[in-house]
Amino acid sequence: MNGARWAVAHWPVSIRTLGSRLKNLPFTADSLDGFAVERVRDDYLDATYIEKIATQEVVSDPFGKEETIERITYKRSSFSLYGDFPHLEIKSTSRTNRDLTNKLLEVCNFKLSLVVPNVNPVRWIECLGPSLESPPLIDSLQISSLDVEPGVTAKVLLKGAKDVREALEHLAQKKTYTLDKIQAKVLLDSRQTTIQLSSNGSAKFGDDHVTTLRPALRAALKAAIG
Amino acid sequence: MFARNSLNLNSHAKMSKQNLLYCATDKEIYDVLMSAKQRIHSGVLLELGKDRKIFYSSSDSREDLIHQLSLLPHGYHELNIILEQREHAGRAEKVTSVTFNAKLTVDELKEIAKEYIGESPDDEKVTTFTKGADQVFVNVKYSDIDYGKTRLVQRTPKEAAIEFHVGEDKTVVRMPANAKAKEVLGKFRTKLETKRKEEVPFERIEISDFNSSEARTEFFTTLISKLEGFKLDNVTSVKVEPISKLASEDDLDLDDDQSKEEAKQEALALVKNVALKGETLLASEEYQSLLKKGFFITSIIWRSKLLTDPFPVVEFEAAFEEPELGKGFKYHVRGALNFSEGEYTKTLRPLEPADKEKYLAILEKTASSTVKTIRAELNSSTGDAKGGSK
Repeated sequence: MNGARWAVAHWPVSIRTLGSRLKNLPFTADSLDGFAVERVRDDYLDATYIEKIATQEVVSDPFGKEETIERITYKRSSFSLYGDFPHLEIKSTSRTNRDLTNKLLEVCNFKLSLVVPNVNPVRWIECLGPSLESPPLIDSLQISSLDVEPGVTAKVLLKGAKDVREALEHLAQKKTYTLDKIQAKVLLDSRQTTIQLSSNGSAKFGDDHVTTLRPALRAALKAAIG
Repeated sequence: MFARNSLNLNSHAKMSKQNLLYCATDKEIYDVLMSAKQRIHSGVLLELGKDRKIFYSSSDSREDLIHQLSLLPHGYHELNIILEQREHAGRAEKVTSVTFNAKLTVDELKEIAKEYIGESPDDEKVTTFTKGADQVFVNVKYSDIDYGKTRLVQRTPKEAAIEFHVGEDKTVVRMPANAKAKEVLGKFRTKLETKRKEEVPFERIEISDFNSSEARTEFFTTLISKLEGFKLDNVTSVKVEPISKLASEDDLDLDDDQSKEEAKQEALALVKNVALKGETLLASEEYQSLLKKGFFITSIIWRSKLLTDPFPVVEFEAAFEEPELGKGFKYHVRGALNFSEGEYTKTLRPLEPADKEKYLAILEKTASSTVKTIRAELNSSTGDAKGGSK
């Protein structure tokens, strides 16, 4: 599963300046973390934040002899910075990207604000419609804070083989609720794929259409909020 | 030797006279039990009864239980149990440090400590010991008296551990950030100076000369991001204050009555400080907007990941006792999230004393070097400005 999450950011300097600052912090063979900058333009840049994680594992054999094995892993967080909304695109499905955001904060001399967008996922998928070959089929949907009766709320997951929006209307009966996530089946390059969209501006999708879906989802998010 | 012993006997006799025998009345026991609502709840009161083989009804109100318990006879042991119940569990005090910029020796400090022990007041119990070849510890046990409390809990036994870390050209003194430790250190310094017949220069971590909100905030942001051997992980709590207080000292008194009146009107809606709690707070829109309005950081709690195995995430706290003056830097290592079986523990675990000491030393070193760097930048920029105006 591939994915991305977007955020609103207020850059204190231009994208070009940010690019040169990132280039000044390159990931090298001796460093524990750093950036690999792929391209820098006036209105966007693509880069990867790399962290080297060296852990030690103690393995004891049946004779009681202990051996320490050093394991080195590299965590890569690819991202893009844009001059317009949504300003930050993190190309991963990881729940936390705190290491990257902390590093970006340092690069911006702690003068950076990041805000998670609040988007209606149904509106988002509707805005994606023009990029698709056929209308999307929302086959799963998660809502929360559904007012069942005074003082009682429900969190509901609807699943179906057809569009579940009709069932939601029937269930909610004009009561208030918060739409958290949706899952939709879409047709891309004559192949069906699944997309999950969340109200916090994050998306998950199959590995096959990463290059076409990611920019299309970004444009759709912009249209849905704008 | 004989004279010394007789002196000790005298002081013991004096002490026993001063340590008045105290008997708690039922009213005082009632007040103590009633005052600690969270710690001494109905469950605790029922247990206190059970200890005496008395089974009170769980449907009795807290007030009724306390009323009945307070009428029972209480000896030293029973009173101690009540006092232990209401004590705050381990809220560690923040520490502060002073650096003596002079070549001191362990023997010299030990001698002064012994002198101090000889002269210490009766309500203080002072002990001293050395650790390794370069550390002298002075432990002061004293009573903190708060007359605002009910009589039974007016006297709180406290401990101030003052550590002298002797270096080649300087000695770092680490101590609890409270008035008692400051008083003890003050006396130590006087004795040291009397003995040496010269002034012992010392420095504290202070940013009172940083007049801009940017410079004051930079102190904290540099401290959290440049901690040697650590990587910033999360900022969970931050307190900010507006810059206006700093500027007011330099204001020229040219205001007419009308503008003074306006200032009074503005003060009706004055924000003195804002405390934020959350995750990655420094990247939040709310914090950034306060920063743009001239607020600066006065206190911060953050987590940093140690870059060497076993990679604990250590929680630190740093603040100024007098935020507007930038004086009284105090700090604390609150605990750590340990990495085990592929994930970090959810709650903070206490640190090994050796690790805690190591991390405190790193924090002190980073704070001290940060102040020097920012001060040098400020001085060079003011120098440039003066040069430019000429």
